[in-house]
Amino acid sequence: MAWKVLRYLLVGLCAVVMGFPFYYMLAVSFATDSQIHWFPIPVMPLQLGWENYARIWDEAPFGRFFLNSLIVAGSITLLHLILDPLAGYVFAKFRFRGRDPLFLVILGTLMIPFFLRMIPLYWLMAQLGWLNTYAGLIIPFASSAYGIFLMRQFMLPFPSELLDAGRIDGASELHIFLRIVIPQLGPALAAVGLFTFVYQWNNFLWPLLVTSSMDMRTLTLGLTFFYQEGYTRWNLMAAASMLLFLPILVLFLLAQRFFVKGIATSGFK
Amino acid sequence: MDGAAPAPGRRQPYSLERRMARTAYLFLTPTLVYFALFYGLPIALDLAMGFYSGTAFMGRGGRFVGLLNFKILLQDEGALASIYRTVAFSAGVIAISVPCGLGMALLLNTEMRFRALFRAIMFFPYMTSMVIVSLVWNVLYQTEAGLLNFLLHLVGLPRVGWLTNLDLALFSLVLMTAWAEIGYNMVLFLAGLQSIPSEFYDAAKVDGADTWRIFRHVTLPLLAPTTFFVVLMSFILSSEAFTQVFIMTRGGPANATELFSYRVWETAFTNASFGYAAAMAFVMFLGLFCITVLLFRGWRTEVEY
Repeated sequence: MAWKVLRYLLVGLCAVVMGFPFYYMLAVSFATDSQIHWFPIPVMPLQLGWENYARIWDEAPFGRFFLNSLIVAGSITLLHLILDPLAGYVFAKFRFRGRDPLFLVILGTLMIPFFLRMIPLYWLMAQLGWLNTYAGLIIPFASSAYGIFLMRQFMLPFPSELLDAGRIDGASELHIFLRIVIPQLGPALAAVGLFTFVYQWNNFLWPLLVTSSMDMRTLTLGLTFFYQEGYTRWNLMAAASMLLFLPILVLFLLAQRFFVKGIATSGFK
Repeated sequence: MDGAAPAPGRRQPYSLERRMARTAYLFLTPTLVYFALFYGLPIALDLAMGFYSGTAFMGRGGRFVGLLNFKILLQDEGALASIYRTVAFSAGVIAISVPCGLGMALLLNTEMRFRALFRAIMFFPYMTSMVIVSLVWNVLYQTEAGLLNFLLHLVGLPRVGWLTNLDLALFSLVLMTAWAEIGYNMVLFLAGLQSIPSEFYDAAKVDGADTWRIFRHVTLPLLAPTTFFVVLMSFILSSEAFTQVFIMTRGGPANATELFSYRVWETAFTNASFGYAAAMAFVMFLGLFCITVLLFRGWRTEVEY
Protein backbone atom coordinates (compact mmCIF):
# COMPACT_ATOMS: atom_id res chain seq x y z
CA MET A 1 0.00 0.00 0.00
CA ALA A 2 2.73 2.43 0.98
CA TRP A 3 4.54 1.52 -2.19
CA LYS A 4 1.39 2.18 -4.21
CA VAL A 5 1.01 5.67 -2.79
CA LEU A 6 4.69 6.38 -3.23
CA ARG A 7 4.48 5.21 -6.82
CA TYR A 8 1.64 7.58 -7.61
CA LEU A 9 3.49 10.41 -5.90
CA LEU A 10 6.64 9.77 -7.91
CA VAL A 11 4.78 9.43 -11.19
CA GLY A 12 2.86 12.61 -10.41
CA LEU A 13 6.08 14.46 -9.65
CA CYS A 14 7.59 13.31 -12.94
CA ALA A 15 4.48 14.37 -14.81
CA VAL A 16 4.68 17.83 -13.25
CA VAL A 17 8.35 18.22 -14.14
CA MET A 18 7.74 17.08 -17.72
CA GLY A 19 4.44 18.85 -18.25
CA PHE A 20 4.79 22.10 -16.36
CA PRO A 21 6.98 23.95 -18.89
CA PHE A 22 4.24 23.54 -21.49
CA TYR A 23 1.61 24.84 -19.11
CA TYR A 24 3.85 27.78 -18.27
CA MET A 25 4.26 28.60 -21.94
CA LEU A 26 0.47 28.81 -22.17
CA ALA A 27 0.33 31.02 -19.07
CA VAL A 28 3.02 33.34 -20.44
CA SER A 29 1.12 33.66 -23.71
CA PHE A 30 -1.66 35.44 -21.77
CA ALA A 31 0.67 37.83 -19.92
CA THR A 32 0.46 41.54 -20.69
CA ASP A 33 3.44 43.56 -21.84
CA SER A 34 4.11 44.78 -18.32
CA GLN A 35 3.61 41.39 -16.68
CA ILE A 36 6.48 39.89 -18.64
CA HIS A 37 8.81 41.98 -16.49
CA TRP A 38 7.34 40.68 -13.23
CA PHE A 39 9.25 38.34 -10.99
CA PRO A 40 8.19 35.79 -12.00
CA ILE A 41 5.91 36.11 -15.02
CA PRO A 42 2.53 35.09 -13.49
CA VAL A 43 2.11 31.33 -13.25
CA MET A 44 -1.65 31.80 -13.01
CA PRO A 45 -2.66 34.16 -15.82
CA LEU A 46 -4.37 37.24 -14.35
CA GLN A 47 -6.53 37.60 -17.45
CA LEU A 48 -7.47 35.30 -20.31
CA GLY A 49 -7.39 37.57 -23.33
CA TRP A 50 -6.58 36.73 -26.89
CA GLU A 51 -4.82 40.05 -27.63
CA ASN A 52 -1.39 38.47 -27.87
CA TYR A 53 -2.68 35.87 -30.29
CA ALA A 54 -4.18 38.64 -32.42
CA ARG A 55 -1.06 40.79 -32.25
CA ILE A 56 1.44 38.24 -33.57
CA TRP A 57 -0.07 38.39 -37.07
CA ASP A 58 0.85 42.09 -37.30
CA GLU A 59 4.41 41.46 -36.17
CA ALA A 60 5.39 38.94 -38.83
CA PRO A 61 3.64 36.96 -41.59
CA PHE A 62 2.89 33.97 -39.39
CA GLY A 63 0.21 32.73 -41.76
CA ARG A 64 2.85 32.42 -44.44
CA PHE A 65 5.31 30.76 -42.03
CA PHE A 66 2.63 28.26 -41.07
CA LEU A 67 1.82 27.53 -44.69
CA ASN A 68 5.49 27.07 -45.54
CA SER A 69 5.98 24.62 -42.66
CA LEU A 70 2.92 22.73 -43.83
CA ILE A 71 4.11 22.59 -47.45
CA VAL A 72 7.63 21.53 -46.55
CA ALA A 73 6.79 18.94 -43.87
CA GLY A 74 3.84 17.66 -45.89
CA SER A 75 5.81 17.22 -49.12
CA ILE A 76 8.69 15.49 -47.37
CA THR A 77 6.24 13.13 -45.66
CA LEU A 78 4.58 12.34 -48.97
CA LEU A 79 7.94 11.57 -50.59
CA HIS A 80 8.81 9.25 -47.70
CA LEU A 81 5.51 7.45 -48.06
CA ILE A 82 6.32 6.76 -51.71
CA LEU A 83 10.04 5.98 -51.59
CA ASP A 84 10.37 4.13 -48.27
CA PRO A 85 7.80 1.37 -48.87
CA LEU A 86 9.11 0.81 -52.40
CA ALA A 87 12.64 0.30 -51.17
CA GLY A 88 11.66 -1.57 -48.00
CA TYR A 89 9.52 -3.99 -50.00
CA VAL A 90 12.30 -4.62 -52.51
CA PHE A 91 14.87 -5.26 -49.78
CA ALA A 92 12.50 -7.64 -47.99
CA LYS A 93 11.08 -9.66 -50.85
CA PHE A 94 13.40 -9.58 -53.87
CA ARG A 95 16.56 -11.50 -54.63
CA PHE A 96 19.02 -9.69 -56.84
CA ARG A 97 22.69 -9.06 -57.10
CA GLY A 98 23.96 -6.40 -54.72
CA ARG A 99 20.93 -6.44 -52.46
CA ASP A 100 22.66 -6.96 -49.14
CA PRO A 101 25.55 -4.56 -49.73
CA LEU A 102 23.12 -1.88 -50.92
CA PHE A 103 20.96 -2.34 -47.85
CA LEU A 104 24.01 -2.15 -45.60
CA VAL A 105 25.16 1.06 -47.28
CA ILE A 106 21.74 2.63 -46.77
CA LEU A 107 21.68 1.51 -43.13
CA GLY A 108 25.19 2.93 -42.80
CA THR A 109 23.86 6.41 -43.52
CA LEU A 110 22.37 6.32 -40.03
CA MET A 111 25.94 6.81 -38.82
CA ILE A 112 26.35 10.04 -40.78
CA PRO A 113 25.85 13.13 -38.64
CA PHE A 114 23.91 15.87 -40.41
CA PHE A 115 26.83 18.22 -39.88
CA LEU A 116 28.96 16.15 -42.23
CA ARG A 117 26.45 16.66 -45.05
CA MET A 118 25.41 20.18 -44.15
CA ILE A 119 28.10 22.26 -45.82
CA PRO A 120 28.33 20.34 -49.12
CA LEU A 121 24.52 20.13 -49.26
CA TYR A 122 24.37 23.89 -48.92
CA TRP A 123 26.94 24.26 -51.68
CA LEU A 124 24.98 21.80 -53.82
CA MET A 125 21.79 23.80 -53.31
CA ALA A 126 23.62 26.93 -54.38
CA GLN A 127 24.88 25.21 -57.55
CA LEU A 128 21.39 23.95 -58.38
CA GLY A 129 19.86 27.37 -57.75
CA TRP A 130 17.73 25.84 -55.00
CA LEU A 131 18.63 28.22 -52.20
CA ASN A 132 15.53 29.89 -50.81
CA THR A 133 13.18 27.57 -52.72
CA TYR A 134 10.77 24.83 -51.70
CA ALA A 135 12.85 22.33 -53.67
CA GLY A 136 15.88 23.18 -51.55
CA LEU A 137 13.85 22.72 -48.36
CA ILE A 138 12.21 19.47 -49.44
CA ILE A 139 14.32 17.34 -51.79
CA PRO A 140 17.38 16.76 -49.54
CA PHE A 141 15.09 14.96 -47.03
CA ALA A 142 13.04 12.83 -49.45
CA SER A 143 13.90 9.48 -47.88
CA SER A 144 15.63 7.98 -44.88
CA ALA A 145 17.23 4.75 -43.80
CA TYR A 146 14.84 4.63 -40.82
CA GLY A 147 11.78 4.54 -43.02
CA ILE A 148 13.24 1.94 -45.35
CA PHE A 149 14.39 -0.20 -42.44
CA LEU A 150 10.97 -0.11 -40.78
CA MET A 151 9.18 -0.99 -44.02
CA ARG A 152 11.55 -3.88 -44.62
CA GLN A 153 11.09 -5.25 -41.08
CA PHE A 154 7.36 -5.02 -41.51
CA MET A 155 7.41 -6.80 -44.87
CA LEU A 156 9.79 -9.64 -43.94
CA PRO A 157 7.26 -11.98 -42.26
CA PHE A 158 4.74 -11.50 -45.05
CA PRO A 159 4.42 -14.83 -46.99
CA SER A 160 6.07 -14.53 -50.40
CA GLU A 161 3.66 -17.14 -51.76
CA LEU A 162 0.90 -14.57 -51.76
CA LEU A 163 3.02 -12.28 -53.90
CA ASP A 164 3.87 -15.13 -56.26
CA ALA A 165 0.20 -16.08 -56.47
CA GLY A 166 -0.46 -12.58 -57.74
CA ARG A 167 2.30 -12.98 -60.32
CA ILE A 168 0.91 -16.29 -61.53
CA ASP A 169 -2.49 -14.63 -61.89
CA GLY A 170 -0.78 -12.19 -64.23
CA ALA A 171 -0.79 -9.13 -61.98
CA SER A 172 1.83 -6.51 -62.83
CA GLU A 173 4.54 -5.75 -60.26
CA LEU A 174 3.11 -2.28 -59.71
CA HIS A 175 -0.32 -3.81 -59.15
CA ILE A 176 1.13 -6.25 -56.62
CA PHE A 177 2.86 -3.41 -54.83
CA LEU A 178 -0.20 -1.18 -54.68
CA ARG A 179 -2.85 -3.82 -54.00
CA ILE A 180 -1.06 -6.42 -51.89
CA VAL A 181 1.99 -4.80 -50.32
CA ILE A 182 0.75 -1.32 -49.42
CA PRO A 183 -2.34 -2.55 -47.50
CA GLN A 184 -0.01 -4.76 -45.44
CA LEU A 185 2.15 -1.82 -44.46
CA GLY A 186 -0.58 0.27 -42.80
CA PRO A 187 0.89 0.67 -39.31
CA ALA A 188 4.43 1.10 -40.68
CA LEU A 189 3.24 3.80 -43.07
CA ALA A 190 1.47 5.54 -40.22
CA ALA A 191 4.57 5.46 -38.04
CA VAL A 192 6.91 6.67 -40.77
CA GLY A 193 4.46 9.33 -41.91
CA LEU A 194 3.88 10.69 -38.42
CA PHE A 195 7.52 10.70 -37.42
CA THR A 196 8.67 12.28 -40.64
CA PHE A 197 6.04 14.98 -40.43
CA VAL A 198 6.82 15.84 -36.81
CA TYR A 199 10.56 15.78 -37.37
CA GLN A 200 10.37 18.06 -40.39
CA TRP A 201 7.74 20.31 -38.87
CA ASN A 202 10.18 20.86 -36.00
CA ASN A 203 13.29 21.17 -38.17
CA PHE A 204 15.25 24.32 -37.54
CA LEU A 205 18.82 24.10 -38.82
CA TRP A 206 18.22 23.40 -42.51
CA PRO A 207 15.54 26.10 -43.06
CA LEU A 208 17.86 28.46 -41.19
CA LEU A 209 20.56 27.78 -43.77
CA VAL A 210 18.67 27.71 -47.05
CA THR A 211 15.97 30.33 -46.60
CA SER A 212 16.81 34.02 -46.83
CA SER A 213 13.57 35.85 -47.54
CA MET A 214 10.54 36.37 -45.28
CA ASP A 215 8.18 34.56 -47.64
CA MET A 216 10.22 31.32 -47.54
CA ARG A 217 10.73 31.17 -43.77
CA THR A 218 9.17 28.31 -41.83
CA LEU A 219 7.45 28.55 -38.47
CA THR A 220 10.43 27.42 -36.40
CA LEU A 221 12.44 30.33 -37.78
CA GLY A 222 9.53 32.73 -37.37
CA LEU A 223 9.50 32.08 -33.62
CA THR A 224 12.98 33.45 -33.17
CA PHE A 225 11.63 36.70 -34.62
CA PHE A 226 10.58 37.90 -31.15
CA TYR A 227 13.85 36.97 -29.59
CA GLN A 228 16.03 39.99 -29.17
CA GLU A 229 18.85 40.45 -26.77
CA GLY A 230 17.57 42.24 -23.70
CA TYR A 231 13.95 42.92 -24.64
CA THR A 232 12.44 39.68 -25.85
CA ARG A 233 8.63 39.88 -25.84
CA TRP A 234 8.05 36.55 -24.14
CA ASN A 235 4.26 36.84 -24.22
CA LEU A 236 4.12 37.24 -28.01
CA MET A 237 6.71 34.54 -28.50
CA ALA A 238 4.77 32.12 -26.30
CA ALA A 239 1.58 32.91 -28.23
CA ALA A 240 3.33 32.35 -31.56
CA SER A 241 4.91 29.10 -30.38
CA MET A 242 1.39 27.71 -29.89
CA LEU A 243 1.11 27.75 -33.69
CA LEU A 244 4.03 25.38 -33.85
CA PHE A 245 3.01 23.43 -30.77
CA LEU A 246 -0.72 22.76 -31.18
CA PRO A 247 -0.65 20.82 -34.48
CA ILE A 248 1.88 18.41 -33.00
CA LEU A 249 -0.14 18.08 -29.80
CA VAL A 250 -3.29 17.24 -31.77
CA LEU A 251 -1.42 14.79 -33.97
CA PHE A 252 0.16 13.18 -30.92
CA LEU A 253 -3.13 12.81 -29.07
CA LEU A 254 -4.79 11.27 -32.11
CA ALA A 255 -2.02 8.80 -32.86
CA GLN A 256 -0.12 8.25 -29.64
CA ARG A 257 0.11 4.50 -30.01
CA PHE A 258 1.77 4.80 -33.42
CA PHE A 259 4.45 7.09 -32.01
CA VAL A 260 5.17 4.81 -29.09
CA LYS A 261 5.17 1.69 -31.24
CA GLY A 262 7.33 3.32 -33.89
CA ILE A 263 10.01 4.17 -31.36
CA ALA A 264 9.81 0.84 -29.62
CA THR A 265 10.33 -1.14 -32.81
CA SER A 266 12.85 0.97 -34.67
CA GLY A 267 14.37 3.49 -32.30
CA PHE A 268 13.31 6.37 -34.52
CA LYS A 269 15.01 9.54 -33.48
CA MET B 1 7.59 -4.38 -67.11
CA ASP B 2 4.68 -6.72 -66.41
CA GLY B 3 4.60 -10.21 -67.84
CA ALA B 4 5.30 -9.14 -71.41
CA ALA B 5 5.98 -12.02 -73.78
CA PRO B 6 9.67 -12.62 -74.48
CA ALA B 7 10.96 -10.91 -77.58
CA PRO B 8 10.92 -13.29 -80.54
CA GLY B 9 14.23 -14.95 -81.22
CA ARG B 10 15.48 -14.42 -77.70
CA ARG B 11 17.15 -17.61 -76.48
CA GLN B 12 16.65 -17.31 -72.79
CA PRO B 13 13.03 -17.58 -71.71
CA TYR B 14 11.67 -14.67 -69.73
CA SER B 15 12.12 -16.12 -66.30
CA LEU B 16 10.49 -15.01 -63.09
CA GLU B 17 13.92 -14.48 -61.65
CA ARG B 18 14.81 -11.91 -64.30
CA ARG B 19 11.50 -10.15 -63.99
CA MET B 20 12.06 -9.91 -60.23
CA ALA B 21 15.55 -8.50 -60.61
CA ARG B 22 14.36 -5.94 -63.14
CA THR B 23 11.50 -4.87 -60.92
CA ALA B 24 13.83 -4.62 -57.95
CA TYR B 25 16.21 -2.28 -59.74
CA LEU B 26 13.33 -0.25 -61.15
CA PHE B 27 11.67 0.21 -57.76
CA LEU B 28 14.99 1.00 -56.12
CA THR B 29 16.22 3.55 -58.64
CA PRO B 30 14.66 6.67 -57.09
CA THR B 31 15.92 5.67 -53.65
CA LEU B 32 19.42 4.92 -54.89
CA VAL B 33 19.56 8.21 -56.80
CA TYR B 34 18.44 10.01 -53.67
CA PHE B 35 21.07 8.41 -51.44
CA ALA B 36 23.80 8.91 -54.03
CA LEU B 37 22.98 12.58 -54.53
CA PHE B 38 22.15 13.63 -50.98
CA TYR B 39 24.37 11.32 -48.94
CA GLY B 40 27.14 9.93 -51.13
CA LEU B 41 27.96 13.09 -53.02
CA PRO B 42 27.91 15.41 -49.99
CA ILE B 43 30.13 13.06 -47.99
CA ALA B 44 32.67 12.90 -50.82
CA LEU B 45 32.40 16.66 -51.31
CA ASP B 46 32.95 17.31 -47.62
CA LEU B 47 36.21 15.46 -47.65
CA ALA B 48 37.22 17.24 -50.87
CA MET B 49 36.28 20.64 -49.44
CA GLY B 50 38.39 19.91 -46.40
CA PHE B 51 41.45 20.07 -48.62
CA TYR B 52 40.69 23.57 -49.84
CA SER B 53 41.22 26.90 -48.16
CA GLY B 54 39.05 29.96 -47.95
CA THR B 55 35.45 30.59 -48.86
CA ALA B 56 35.47 29.47 -52.47
CA PHE B 57 35.57 25.87 -53.52
CA MET B 58 37.17 23.91 -56.35
CA GLY B 59 38.70 26.17 -58.88
CA ARG B 60 36.78 29.29 -57.95
CA GLY B 61 39.47 31.06 -56.02
CA GLY B 62 39.80 28.29 -53.44
CA ARG B 63 43.32 27.01 -53.06
CA PHE B 64 44.20 23.35 -52.64
CA VAL B 65 46.03 23.16 -49.32
CA GLY B 66 46.25 19.42 -48.72
CA LEU B 67 46.02 18.47 -45.07
CA LEU B 68 46.59 22.01 -43.84
CA ASN B 69 43.03 22.45 -42.51
CA PHE B 70 43.39 19.28 -40.44
CA LYS B 71 46.79 20.39 -39.15
CA ILE B 72 45.39 23.76 -38.15
CA LEU B 73 42.51 22.06 -36.38
CA LEU B 74 44.90 20.04 -34.23
CA GLN B 75 46.41 23.30 -32.95
CA ASP B 76 43.20 25.30 -32.82
CA GLU B 77 42.72 25.69 -29.08
CA GLY B 78 39.22 27.08 -29.44
CA ALA B 79 38.12 24.11 -31.52
CA LEU B 80 39.76 21.57 -29.20
CA ALA B 81 38.09 23.22 -26.22
CA SER B 82 34.74 22.95 -27.96
CA ILE B 83 35.33 19.24 -28.61
CA TYR B 84 36.05 18.72 -24.93
CA ARG B 85 32.95 20.77 -24.09
CA THR B 86 30.81 18.63 -26.41
CA VAL B 87 32.02 15.41 -24.78
CA ALA B 88 31.26 16.84 -21.34
CA PHE B 89 27.86 18.00 -22.57
CA SER B 90 26.99 14.57 -24.01
CA ALA B 91 28.20 12.78 -20.90
CA GLY B 92 26.07 15.10 -18.76
CA VAL B 93 22.97 14.58 -20.87
CA ILE B 94 23.45 10.79 -20.78
CA ALA B 95 24.13 10.78 -17.04
CA ILE B 96 20.79 12.51 -16.41
CA SER B 97 18.47 11.30 -19.15
CA VAL B 98 19.34 7.58 -19.13
CA PRO B 99 18.80 6.86 -15.40
CA CYS B 100 15.74 9.13 -15.33
CA GLY B 101 14.32 7.44 -18.42
CA LEU B 102 14.88 4.03 -16.83
CA GLY B 103 13.34 5.20 -13.56
CA MET B 104 10.22 6.47 -15.28
CA ALA B 105 9.96 3.29 -17.33
CA LEU B 106 10.14 1.18 -14.15
CA LEU B 107 7.47 3.36 -12.52
CA LEU B 108 5.15 2.96 -15.49
CA ASN B 109 5.97 -0.66 -16.32
CA THR B 110 3.04 -2.26 -14.51
CA GLU B 111 -0.65 -1.46 -14.69
CA MET B 112 -1.87 1.65 -12.92
CA ARG B 113 -4.54 4.30 -13.33
CA PHE B 114 -3.92 6.93 -16.02
CA ARG B 115 -0.83 5.06 -17.15
CA ALA B 116 -1.30 6.01 -20.81
CA LEU B 117 -1.82 9.64 -19.88
CA PHE B 118 1.32 9.76 -17.74
CA ARG B 119 3.32 8.07 -20.47
CA ALA B 120 2.04 10.61 -22.98
CA ILE B 121 2.96 13.56 -20.74
CA MET B 122 6.47 12.24 -20.16
CA PHE B 123 7.03 11.45 -23.80
CA PHE B 124 5.64 14.66 -25.18
CA PRO B 125 8.69 16.93 -24.72
CA TYR B 126 10.53 14.73 -27.18
CA MET B 127 7.86 15.37 -29.82
CA THR B 128 8.11 19.11 -29.34
CA SER B 129 10.41 21.24 -31.43
CA MET B 130 13.73 22.03 -29.77
CA VAL B 131 12.91 25.62 -30.72
CA ILE B 132 9.93 25.62 -28.36
CA VAL B 133 11.83 23.75 -25.66
CA SER B 134 14.60 26.34 -25.91
CA LEU B 135 12.19 29.27 -25.73
CA VAL B 136 10.34 27.88 -22.71
CA TRP B 137 13.49 27.05 -20.81
CA ASN B 138 14.83 30.44 -21.72
CA VAL B 139 11.88 31.96 -19.88
CA LEU B 140 12.45 29.64 -16.91
CA TYR B 141 16.18 30.42 -16.83
CA GLN B 142 15.89 34.24 -16.98
CA THR B 143 18.07 35.83 -14.33
CA GLU B 144 15.79 38.75 -13.42
CA ALA B 145 12.30 37.38 -14.03
CA GLY B 146 12.78 33.62 -14.36
CA LEU B 147 10.72 31.12 -12.46
CA LEU B 148 13.69 29.00 -11.38
CA ASN B 149 15.25 31.98 -9.68
CA PHE B 150 11.89 32.72 -8.10
CA LEU B 151 11.92 29.22 -6.60
CA LEU B 152 15.42 29.88 -5.26
CA HIS B 153 14.13 33.21 -3.93
CA LEU B 154 11.30 31.42 -2.12
CA VAL B 155 13.79 29.33 -0.14
CA GLY B 156 15.92 32.39 0.53
CA LEU B 157 18.69 31.85 -2.02
CA PRO B 158 20.09 34.59 -4.26
CA ARG B 159 19.47 34.76 -8.00
CA VAL B 160 21.61 32.61 -10.25
CA GLY B 161 22.66 33.45 -13.81
CA TRP B 162 21.54 30.16 -15.32
CA LEU B 163 22.60 31.15 -18.81
CA THR B 164 25.01 33.96 -18.01
CA ASN B 165 27.23 32.39 -15.38
CA LEU B 166 30.40 30.98 -16.93
CA ASP B 167 30.40 27.86 -14.77
CA LEU B 168 26.69 27.20 -14.90
CA ALA B 169 25.60 27.91 -18.50
CA LEU B 170 26.71 24.58 -19.95
CA PHE B 171 25.03 22.68 -17.14
CA SER B 172 21.82 24.60 -17.79
CA LEU B 173 21.92 23.43 -21.40
CA VAL B 174 22.63 19.86 -20.26
CA LEU B 175 19.61 19.99 -17.96
CA MET B 176 17.11 21.18 -20.56
CA THR B 177 18.48 18.84 -23.24
CA ALA B 178 18.23 15.87 -20.88
CA TRP B 179 14.69 16.95 -19.99
CA ALA B 180 13.78 16.90 -23.67
CA GLU B 181 15.25 13.41 -24.22
CA ILE B 182 14.00 11.57 -21.13
CA GLY B 183 10.68 10.60 -22.73
CA TYR B 184 12.39 8.99 -25.68
CA ASN B 185 14.62 6.94 -23.40
CA MET B 186 11.64 6.00 -21.27
CA VAL B 187 9.72 4.61 -24.25
CA LEU B 188 12.73 2.54 -25.32
CA PHE B 189 13.20 1.21 -21.78
CA LEU B 190 9.50 0.40 -21.51
CA ALA B 191 9.74 -1.67 -24.69
CA GLY B 192 12.84 -3.40 -23.30
CA LEU B 193 11.13 -4.16 -19.99
CA GLN B 194 8.10 -5.61 -21.75
CA SER B 195 10.33 -7.98 -23.68
CA ILE B 196 11.77 -9.64 -20.56
CA PRO B 197 9.95 -12.97 -20.11
CA SER B 198 8.07 -13.16 -16.82
CA GLU B 199 9.57 -16.59 -16.05
CA PHE B 200 12.78 -14.85 -15.02
CA TYR B 201 10.93 -12.84 -12.38
CA ASP B 202 8.99 -15.88 -11.22
CA ALA B 203 12.18 -17.88 -10.83
CA ALA B 204 13.83 -15.08 -8.88
CA LYS B 205 10.81 -14.77 -6.58
CA VAL B 206 10.80 -18.51 -5.94
CA ASP B 207 14.43 -18.17 -4.93
CA GLY B 208 13.36 -15.49 -2.47
CA ALA B 209 15.02 -12.49 -4.06
CA ASP B 210 13.83 -9.06 -2.91
CA THR B 211 12.89 -6.18 -5.23
CA TRP B 212 16.35 -4.65 -5.30
CA ARG B 213 18.05 -7.98 -6.02
CA ILE B 214 15.60 -8.75 -8.78
CA PHE B 215 16.30 -5.36 -10.32
CA ARG B 216 20.07 -5.70 -9.93
CA HIS B 217 20.45 -9.32 -11.03
CA VAL B 218 17.50 -9.92 -13.38
CA THR B 219 16.15 -6.69 -14.84
CA LEU B 220 19.37 -4.79 -15.33
CA PRO B 221 21.37 -7.57 -17.06
CA LEU B 222 18.45 -8.53 -19.30
CA LEU B 223 17.92 -4.88 -20.15
CA ALA B 224 21.54 -4.41 -21.19
CA PRO B 225 20.92 -4.43 -24.96
CA THR B 226 18.27 -1.73 -24.55
CA THR B 227 20.52 0.28 -22.27
CA PHE B 228 23.28 0.10 -24.84
CA PHE B 229 20.97 1.33 -27.56
CA VAL B 230 19.61 4.15 -25.40
CA VAL B 231 23.11 5.33 -24.48
CA LEU B 232 24.19 5.21 -28.12
CA MET B 233 21.18 7.18 -29.36
CA SER B 234 21.46 9.66 -26.53
CA PHE B 235 25.10 10.15 -27.37
CA ILE B 236 24.46 10.70 -31.08
CA LEU B 237 21.56 13.07 -30.43
CA SER B 238 23.36 15.21 -27.88
CA SER B 239 26.60 15.42 -29.82
CA GLU B 240 24.65 17.07 -32.65
CA ALA B 241 22.84 19.53 -30.39
CA PHE B 242 22.64 22.88 -32.11
CA THR B 243 19.25 24.57 -31.83
CA GLN B 244 19.38 25.15 -28.09
CA VAL B 245 22.82 26.75 -28.33
CA PHE B 246 21.74 28.92 -31.25
CA ILE B 247 18.58 30.14 -29.54
CA MET B 248 19.59 30.32 -25.89
CA THR B 249 23.22 31.35 -25.70
CA ARG B 250 24.84 31.73 -29.12
CA GLY B 251 27.77 29.89 -27.60
CA GLY B 252 28.22 32.41 -24.79
CA PRO B 253 29.01 33.57 -22.24
CA ALA B 254 32.62 33.72 -23.45
CA ASN B 255 32.33 30.46 -25.44
CA ALA B 256 31.22 28.57 -22.32
CA THR B 257 28.43 26.81 -24.25
CA GLU B 258 30.01 26.72 -27.69
CA LEU B 259 29.52 23.09 -28.68
CA PHE B 260 31.48 21.69 -31.61
CA SER B 261 28.39 21.50 -33.83
CA TYR B 262 27.73 25.18 -33.22
CA ARG B 263 31.34 26.00 -33.97
CA VAL B 264 31.16 24.12 -37.28
CA TRP B 265 28.07 26.12 -38.23
CA GLU B 266 29.69 29.36 -37.15
CA THR B 267 32.89 28.64 -39.07
CA ALA B 268 30.98 27.86 -42.25
CA PHE B 269 28.12 30.30 -42.23
CA THR B 270 29.31 33.24 -40.14
CA ASN B 271 33.03 33.24 -40.91
CA ALA B 272 32.50 31.75 -44.39
CA SER B 273 35.47 29.34 -44.05
CA PHE B 274 33.86 26.47 -45.88
CA GLY B 275 37.05 24.46 -46.26
CA TYR B 276 37.99 24.62 -42.61
CA ALA B 277 34.42 23.94 -41.49
CA ALA B 278 34.23 20.93 -43.82
CA ALA B 279 37.42 19.57 -42.25
CA MET B 280 35.90 20.11 -38.79
CA ALA B 281 32.72 18.30 -39.81
CA PHE B 282 34.77 15.38 -41.07
CA VAL B 283 36.65 15.17 -37.78
CA MET B 284 33.32 15.27 -35.97
CA PHE B 285 32.14 12.32 -38.04
CA LEU B 286 35.35 10.39 -37.32
CA GLY B 287 35.00 11.05 -33.62
CA LEU B 288 31.38 9.93 -33.54
CA PHE B 289 32.22 6.87 -35.59
CA CYS B 290 35.11 5.82 -33.34
CA ILE B 291 33.11 6.28 -30.15
CA THR B 292 30.20 4.31 -31.61
CA VAL B 293 32.51 1.45 -32.57
CA LEU B 294 34.13 1.54 -29.12
CA LEU B 295 30.72 1.47 -27.47
CA PHE B 296 29.75 -1.51 -29.60
CA ARG B 297 32.97 -3.36 -28.75
CA GLY B 298 32.79 -2.61 -25.07
CA TRP B 299 29.18 -3.59 -24.73
CA ARG B 300 29.22 -6.70 -26.82
CA THR B 301 31.26 -8.45 -24.17
CA GLU B 302 28.98 -7.11 -21.43
CA VAL B 303 25.71 -7.79 -23.14
CA GLU B 304 26.10 -11.48 -23.78
CA TYR B 305 24.17 -13.66 -21.40
